[in-house]
Amino acid sequence: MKLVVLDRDGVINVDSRDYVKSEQEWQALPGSLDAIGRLYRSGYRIVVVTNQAGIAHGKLNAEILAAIHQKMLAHLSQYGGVIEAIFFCPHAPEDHCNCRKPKPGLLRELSRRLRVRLHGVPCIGDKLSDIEAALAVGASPILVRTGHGQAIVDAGEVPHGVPVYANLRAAVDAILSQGSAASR
Amino acid sequence: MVLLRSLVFYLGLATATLVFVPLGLLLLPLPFATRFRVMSRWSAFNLWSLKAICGLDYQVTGIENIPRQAGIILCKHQSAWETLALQLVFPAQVWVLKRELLWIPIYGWGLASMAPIAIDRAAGMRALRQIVAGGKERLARGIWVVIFPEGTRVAPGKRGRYQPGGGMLAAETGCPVVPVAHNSGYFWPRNSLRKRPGRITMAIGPVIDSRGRSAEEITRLAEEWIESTVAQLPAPAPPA
Ligand SMILES: [Mg+2]
Ligand SMILES: [Zn+2]
Repeated sequence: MKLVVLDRDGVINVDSRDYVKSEQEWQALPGSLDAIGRLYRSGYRIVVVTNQAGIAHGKLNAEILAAIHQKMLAHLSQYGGVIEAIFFCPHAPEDHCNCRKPKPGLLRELSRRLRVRLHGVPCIGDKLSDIEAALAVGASPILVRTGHGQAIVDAGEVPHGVPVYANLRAAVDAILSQGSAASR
Repeated sequence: MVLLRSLVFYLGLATATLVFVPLGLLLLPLPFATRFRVMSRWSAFNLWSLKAICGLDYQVTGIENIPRQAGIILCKHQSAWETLALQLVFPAQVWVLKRELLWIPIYGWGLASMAPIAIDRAAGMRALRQIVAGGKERLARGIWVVIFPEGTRVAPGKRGRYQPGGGMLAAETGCPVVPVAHNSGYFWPRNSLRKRPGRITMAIGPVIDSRGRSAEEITRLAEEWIESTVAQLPAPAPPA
């Protein structure tokens, strides 16, 4: 199954301490959209799984989030890329929901809705919570140094065996070269 | 070659119809959801053979936007393709359609067995009341309602006038509205047998919450999302 799961903030776009709360505040990281476009054109299905606690905190609502994602998809289409689905958790940590990463609820929902198995599927994120959620469903976590990633590397907290790349572009390069090596 | 493949596809479609229509009538005593699961295999077969014979595939984005509660699908209408694909993407559903379709021999009988909301398009206000009354009843039973707000198929790049029936049903029931855009018309053109090889994209939009909104506003929000999304979908140049 050629599927890749991406975190959003700090992986595709610049993260913000005070949440990305409007279309204007959504800014792609350099090279990220091009990387997703290449991944898609190489035959991968791409799904985004993202924590959006800003909704629980009243910083934005589901309609603004939809507008932000519309902008992301529109910009991505300029690079020939398509994101098949965007799963988000609207809760705050204190809500103790099942979907907020590191809980695997959103990944399970994705697996059910798209009728795909997640075993071995690359999950690219910039936080430990991304890695933990991926491990909980038997997927293959990948850390990028963008967003919070560098801080995790600096603190020596990267779990054993989790590959680390400079950014989404480098992570995608690795996935594509492994994919072509495997098919040889 | 394209024409020949398309004819073979239609031969398969006709054969499947001859199998499924008697089946639909036979299954009538069963619950709707069960019958839908069986009868939508007709669509599954046709979309499979479309890919196998004509090389026409599809992809769906935004499937996470489909709520658990039954809602109203407001869908762009460019070809018969979307009437098939919606059956595989969304749960058990009925269609708002012009009653003349039920008069087609055999095929119409199959359609009629699936509890469609058949309206008399010439009836104006009465047709709108038929949509609201019929839709309300289906939604209360947990069945989705499919409406093509433009009323009829529209060529790619064109926009029909969005009719008020879907928005009225939504405002009346408070059920979620799910807008759907796609580019099927480029591959499955109206008034032509030819199916172009390629890949249709269907995009499912974020739910429009109809509670506390007027019918006009719901229709306008759906139209805005559908038309702006359709404009972004791939528009392959016509074959040479
Ligand atoms: Mg992140
Ligand atoms: Zn949650």
